[in-house]
Amino acid sequence: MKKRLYLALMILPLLCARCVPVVEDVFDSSAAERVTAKQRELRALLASAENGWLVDYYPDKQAARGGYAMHVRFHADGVADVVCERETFLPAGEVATSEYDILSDQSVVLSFNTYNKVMHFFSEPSASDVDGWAGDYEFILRESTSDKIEMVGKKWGRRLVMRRCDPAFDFQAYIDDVLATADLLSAFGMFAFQSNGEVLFTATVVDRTFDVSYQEINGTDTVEVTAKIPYIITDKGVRFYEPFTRTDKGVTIENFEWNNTDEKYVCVDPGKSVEGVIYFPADYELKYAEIPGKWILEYRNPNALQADTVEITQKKKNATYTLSCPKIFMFPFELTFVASKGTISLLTQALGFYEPTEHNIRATAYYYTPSTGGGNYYQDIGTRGLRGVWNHDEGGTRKITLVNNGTTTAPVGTYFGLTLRTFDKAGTYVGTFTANPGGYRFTELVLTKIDD
Amino acid sequence: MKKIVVYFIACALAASAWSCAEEGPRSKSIFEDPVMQPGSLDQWLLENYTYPYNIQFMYKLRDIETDRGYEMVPAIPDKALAVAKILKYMFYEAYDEVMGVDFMRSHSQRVIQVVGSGAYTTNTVKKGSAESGMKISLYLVNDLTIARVNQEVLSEFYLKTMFHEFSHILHQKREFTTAFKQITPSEYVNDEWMSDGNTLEIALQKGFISRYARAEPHEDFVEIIAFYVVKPDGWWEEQKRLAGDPGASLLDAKLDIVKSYLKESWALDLDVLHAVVQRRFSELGELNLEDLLK
Repeated sequence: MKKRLYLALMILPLLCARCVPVVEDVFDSSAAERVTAKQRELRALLASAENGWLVDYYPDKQAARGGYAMHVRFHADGVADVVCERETFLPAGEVATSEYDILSDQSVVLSFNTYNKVMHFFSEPSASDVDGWAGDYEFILRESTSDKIEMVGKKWGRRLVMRRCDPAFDFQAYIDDVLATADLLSAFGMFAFQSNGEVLFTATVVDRTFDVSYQEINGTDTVEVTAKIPYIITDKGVRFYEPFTRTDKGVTIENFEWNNTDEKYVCVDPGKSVEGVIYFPADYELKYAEIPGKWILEYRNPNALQADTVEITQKKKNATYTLSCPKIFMFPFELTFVASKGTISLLTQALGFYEPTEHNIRATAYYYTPSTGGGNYYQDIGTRGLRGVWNHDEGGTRKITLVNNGTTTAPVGTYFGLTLRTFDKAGTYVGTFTANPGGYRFTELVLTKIDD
Repeated sequence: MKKIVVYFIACALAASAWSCAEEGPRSKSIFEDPVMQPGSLDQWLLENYTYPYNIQFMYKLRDIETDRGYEMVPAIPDKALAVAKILKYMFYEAYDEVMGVDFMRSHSQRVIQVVGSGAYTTNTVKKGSAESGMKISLYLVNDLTIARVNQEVLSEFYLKTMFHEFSHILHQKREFTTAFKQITPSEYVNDEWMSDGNTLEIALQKGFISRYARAEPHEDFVEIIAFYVVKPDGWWEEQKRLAGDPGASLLDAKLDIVKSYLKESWALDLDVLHAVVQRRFSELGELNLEDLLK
């Protein structure tokens, strides 16, 4: 009896060894099969747009420069034609052709995997800028419809939106429209965005971003809020990097058209009545129209103080002026209007070609050291130079003092300003521009308005 | 009791034969093979790297294949082709000529990756990197000017890296004698090799062929091989002259160990390899770096 019991006990566990019950699969196919199918789907979708896709491309870790419009046409054989509205390693509007692929390492990934002179302009590193513009060229698919694909940059995480172009779309014409819009917008530095007369926020333009500030009422507290809204310039206005929401007001906005007659942004999102009007804060300095006219220019050359009458005239409305005085300047200078502050700046610039010596003339940032009689100049054209400081018309006289804008370090006791220098056709420095009637050193510049 | 055991074993055997049903193997892989266009660079790489050497030559950049601490851009395909042709002629076929084709088939890195840009940090740019004998990455491929290919440029940017990294594989498989480390035992400085105090002049005086050779003995060892192979005749003697004493004799002592190691462990004559590589440099002009079919 006992033996049978042992036997039964030994056999019992064996009877328990069974297959697990069949579990219903949640999906019809394996994860790998689904990813492969998604890849195939995206490949087909990209190539299905015969007239390509309009792409909102944002480089930079914080999208701090704003976005640029690109046009990409994906061919079924893995070749992509890429064009950008801005100059890259190719001029704006020129097509760069390279390869693309649809990968599957983090979900479904679109990769521009051979060198493209447009796309990789935004990623090209260098010794002086190790991340380049920090732009992505591999993008993870987030969602797609037949007309719109949303992706996110794999390395830097910026959003990428592609919109299908209809057959009539012409990107070259679109670029012209974008440039025209950008030109109109460049005149204005500050806006107040308001909804039904109530200000939602004020915005200062920095590159293609709005530096936004507003006050939010939180219970009994008033909180100062600042934010950045990167945007892209479209053929008609601007589109924000992503919808911006003012939570306490329940307003979300994204797309604006520029009304140039009334000089304001108009929100074109359905059901929104938001406008962005030109705005001058209390501490805004001078408006564009307040600068042109005759001024006395005081300057040192090199030590002695001199003064001559100069004329400032409109060059490009709301953007630049010409400063001329044939008595002392063979070539007039270009002044830039800084619309966000209401002031002027005078930067290192190319002035013109001097035929007798066949030299190019440049005005460069410069400081003169009176104790030694020597000076240092900085020939790179870009951001070095002077910025205007307005005296707020104290004593009834309008004065603008042009001081070092901070991009050049000038020792204490030196005089800062501009110097005129000559360069040969290859761009190599030759020497000082001694043929200029007023000499080649102009430092400690002060402008005083003499008429209205 | 014996009977019970017999019953039990019989039952267990029967049960073990009873298992869950298995699906048969899928008839087709879920992964799609890339379509090779005849006459394409991909096809050329397949025929010149994958089939003969079992090497994957990657020129289409995937960021997961790179060190994501660096920002990099892909290679221009034309430049990738030129580098592929140069490496094949100057590195793989040089070894084939000296050692026979099976040597590289057995020992080479399995993946070569070319990248358009360098790997930049604020103070440095890397020209290449290697991962444990499996993969080697060459950077700055887009900077190659095909019309201006010469021994100095190719050595500096690509070939020295190839010979250097491949030599690591050799000593990882068969270690060299500890006598090598004893020649300049107290002069290895790890990361300090980059310091301003370690100039090339000082490195030579202390018996090192390059600044980097001072990092540690294995780097020292492979630097000697790489420089010795790619530099022209007379270069080694010139380095000894610059090194003076005792640097020159220390360099020769190290070179002796390197040569006997290669001969004894791998039946590889370093002087023969040097001569073959130098001859191939002189033949480089005959190589068409731009045409897939030539």
